[in-house]
Amino acid sequence: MSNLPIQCPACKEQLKVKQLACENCRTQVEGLYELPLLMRLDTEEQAFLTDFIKCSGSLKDMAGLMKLSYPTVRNRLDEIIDKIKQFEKTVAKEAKEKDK
Amino acid sequence: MNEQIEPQKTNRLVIWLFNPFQYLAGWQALIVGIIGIVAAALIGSIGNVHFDGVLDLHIGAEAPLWFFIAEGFIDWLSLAIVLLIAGLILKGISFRIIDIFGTQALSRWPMLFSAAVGMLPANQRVTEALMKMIQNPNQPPVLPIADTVVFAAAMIVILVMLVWMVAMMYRAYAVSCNLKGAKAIISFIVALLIAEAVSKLALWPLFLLANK
Repeated sequence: MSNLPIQCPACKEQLKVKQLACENCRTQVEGLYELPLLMRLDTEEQAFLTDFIKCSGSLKDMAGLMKLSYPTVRNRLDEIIDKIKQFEKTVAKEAKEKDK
Repeated sequence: MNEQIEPQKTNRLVIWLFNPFQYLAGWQALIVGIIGIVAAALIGSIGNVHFDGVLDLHIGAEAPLWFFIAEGFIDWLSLAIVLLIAGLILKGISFRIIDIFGTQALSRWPMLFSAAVGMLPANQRVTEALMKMIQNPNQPPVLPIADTVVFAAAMIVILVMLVWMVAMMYRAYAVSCNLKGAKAIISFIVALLIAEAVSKLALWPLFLLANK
């Protein structure tokens, strides 16, 4: 299965979910849904977080798994944290604008 | 594990040469780094190659082995401590102190090669001739061409090693403290200049002790 696109290939805007389908009974749900915060990360970052959770949140274990040094892994996590914080800010801003 | 996160194998050699801290930090880097500092001091003691400052290398007077080892440790600690202070100012306590000390020790590995090049007998002869020239400016120095060529080549190698070491020191600081861009570059340059002065001051009592 191909990777979930998260950015518009034309204007780079955040994509939203318009349609969901059940593979079993072919039911289709249509609407306009926001992607969950973690889904907005690229596949590499999502894989990093999955590994991180599997390592019980231990950066030391994560460094061993990835065969990278502790600060390198920590820096990567910091980058993802910054990105999530940025997403949260954007979501909060959008929610405010909708309320107006 | 996701393979996409792993850097491409073709880039690995470049990473190991200029940013080994991506793979090595903390205690491991500290042990490997200290081995490099001591080995550089051992080789330096054979050819009287002194590391008398964070960025300095001079062919000088004979001294006991402990003096060369102390020089190496003072150079390493001067920069590591100043960078630690810089990191604490800029990033607070969000990094491990052992990473700063470990990666900075590892950054000094190029000095091992500089010591090996510096200990060549031709360098000793040229240095002695240059010293005599300074003492007796009227007497022209007798320098065999072969020695001069070796000396010039050695100086180029040492200069390249110095640039390599500074590049590694910067990467070590940036990785350990997670600093990027202008903030990282400016703070590193300032810290390096301060550390150079600190090392000179710290080495002064060592010279007095050795001359007793």
